[in-house]
Formats: sequence, structure tokens, C-alpha cells
Amino acid sequence: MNIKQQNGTLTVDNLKEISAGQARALRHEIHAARAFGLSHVEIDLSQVNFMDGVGLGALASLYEAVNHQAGKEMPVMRLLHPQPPVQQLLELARMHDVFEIVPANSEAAVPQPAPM
Amino acid sequence: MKALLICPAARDNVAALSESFPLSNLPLFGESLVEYWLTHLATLGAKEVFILTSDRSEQVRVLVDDGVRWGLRVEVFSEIRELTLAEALAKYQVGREGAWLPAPHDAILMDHLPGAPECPLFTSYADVFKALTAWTSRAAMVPDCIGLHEIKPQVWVGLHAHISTEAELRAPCWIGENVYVGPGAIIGPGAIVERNSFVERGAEIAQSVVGAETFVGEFTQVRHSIALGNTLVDWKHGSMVKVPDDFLMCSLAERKPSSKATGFFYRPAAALFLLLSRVTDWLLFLRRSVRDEVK
Repeated sequence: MNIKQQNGTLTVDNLKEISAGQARALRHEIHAARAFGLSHVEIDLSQVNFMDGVGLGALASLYEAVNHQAGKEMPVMRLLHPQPPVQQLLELARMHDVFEIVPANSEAAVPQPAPM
Repeated sequence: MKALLICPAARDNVAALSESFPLSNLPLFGESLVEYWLTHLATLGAKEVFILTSDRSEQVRVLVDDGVRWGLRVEVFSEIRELTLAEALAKYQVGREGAWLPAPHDAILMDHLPGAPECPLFTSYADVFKALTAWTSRAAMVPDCIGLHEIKPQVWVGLHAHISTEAELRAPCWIGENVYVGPGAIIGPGAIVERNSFVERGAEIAQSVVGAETFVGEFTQVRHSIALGNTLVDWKHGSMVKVPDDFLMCSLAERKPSSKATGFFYRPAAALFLLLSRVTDWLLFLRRSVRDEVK
């Protein structure tokens, strides 16, 4: 898992699966990153081939954590390019109501840098 | 009069449909495909029907039995592959004297519902959904649908279904026998929920089919999908996922006992446990008897 923070955007990629094993690490790493002042949080799911309820819970708790730390301006949270089965699970659990989901076959718009 | 029914073999395009049972036994609006066809053939005047099956023949035999339910004499024959209509007629008409139903009713491949050849069932998941949607209003006319009632235009509810007063049913939708729909759930439009399924509160089902004995979890959303146990197929895009968590979606069908339970050591261990419990019971009984005697 890679996490980088640049121009107000927190990007998480190189995730293979989001299940009980990885959820804690994902939560820990993202909590460690400073969410304050972020305008975008993007999680690249293009390589995720397995996700379970714990993984969905980790995403929900990530949303809560970012929301809590962010203060008044809630950053845009996006899940990028999930494979179709993962997208089905996200929709089943209504994660698309919480996150913006950028489908696998579409280009994610490059987030604009946060105003200084 | 006689007729041949050919059960479709498993199709790669719709593999999820035949995971638990052969396609001929697939429940559609509370009845299986083969049952619809037997009813149809009986109304056409058939008296003897030969069913040819190449996939889990035993399940077909158990379902149709001897056909007396339809006033028919039914025989099930196992084949190693799905025969074409011409092959089936060549093989089974020879030596079977007497009248046969006129073509095309003399040999039928069950890849569509009766009277709906324009809606193939097993070419793709999208076609499955399209065929079922087209059949919805006709399914209510099937004589075997006892207790089914149309509670408002194009909203059908089966016998013993429990619909919460706080649930919302949007036409068109079909809810089968013994289905539970919890408070706040939204069913429809374009939803088919097969018998014995359980839709938890707050769940939403639209443009979808929920198979028989399927649990749909609290606040989940099933859209343009076919949900069969823990298998979720997006009929629009053709993708499929096995839902890993029972609280989201799972099968309510009786689960097979674990093979571990019947392992090599299980039976001797169970026998030993039974023996020890008998001995303990006997000792307790003896002790109580001695106490009673002392008193």
C-alpha cells in the first residue's frame, strides 16, 4: 500500500485487497496522515481483487475519521477505478452514497490544488 | 399424445443460474421452468412426456416425479449431452407408436418460457431479466399460483408473504410466497423476489431478481442485478461477485453439514461420548437410589 500527500490530495494506491487483514493497516496509515487541510482523498481500487465487510467497514471508518479531522471543509472522497465485482459490493453496501466512485473505464479528473 | 422436453444443459453465459440446480429446475415466479412446460403440454392435450436431461437428472426426477400432478405420464431420460430437436426426435420417436403432439410441440427445448419464444432465457443475464420482466403479468395467470393477489396495479404478492406496513412497493413488482419484507424496504420498480426470501429493513431492490431463499441484508441496495444466495450478478454489465459476508447477502437454503463432522474420528468419539454420558447417568441414578434408601 502506498500513501502520498501532495497539493492537498491524499492518494492511496497499490492495494491488493481490503479485508480484515489489511483494514487495520489501511486505517492506521490513513489516520497517521494528516487529514487536516486536505481537499481530496483518493483511494485507487484498480488492483483490489477482494473486499469483504471488514474492508467496507474500514472505508466507512476512514470517511468518519476524515470527516472528523477535516473541520468545516469536508474533502472530496473518491474511490478510483474499482473492478466490476468490487464496484458491485460497494453499490450493494451503498458506499456510492458516501464516496464518489470513478468507474474503471473512465478517467479520474485531476483534482485541483487546494486554494492557499 | 406424446411429447419430448429437452432440458437445457448448463450455459457458460449464465453459469451462475445453474450453480445449485439444473436450468430446468430454476425457480421462476415460484415454479420451475420444467413445471411451466409440463402445465403447458398438459393444456395442449399431451398424455405422455419424455424429459431428456444431461445435467443432474436426479434433481429433475425428484421434481417431476411420475407426472401425475399434471395428469401426465412422465419419464426422465439421462443423456450425456443436450440433444438437438432433430436428434431427440430421431432417437425417441422410433418405436414409440401412437399419436404425438403436432410440430413444433412434439419436441421442445426449454430455453424459453411457454408462449414466449421471442424472449430467450439463457443467452445472457440481461436476457434472463428481460424475459422475466416480460413474463411477470402472465405468471399471475398460471393456474398453480394459488393465493397470489394483485394488491395494487402491477404489484403481486404471494401467499403467506409478510410485507411491513412501512415498506414501499413500487409497480411493477412481484413478491413470492413466504417472503418477508422489512420496514423501510423499497421493492421495485422492476423487482422480482422469489419465494422464501428475506428482505431486511431499509433494503432497496429495483430492476432486479432476488432468487428463492435469499437473504438481502439491512440497508443494502440491489440494482440491475440477479441475486442468488450469495451470488450477485450485474445483468447490465455481466459482472459477478460472491458476496463474502452473510449480513449483506446469503442463501437461506439448508446448508450441507460440514464434511469434518463425519470424519474418521467423529463417529468413535461420538460413541464414546454417548457411552460415558450413559455411565454418568447410571452412576447418578445409583447414587440417588442409595440416598433414598438411607433416608
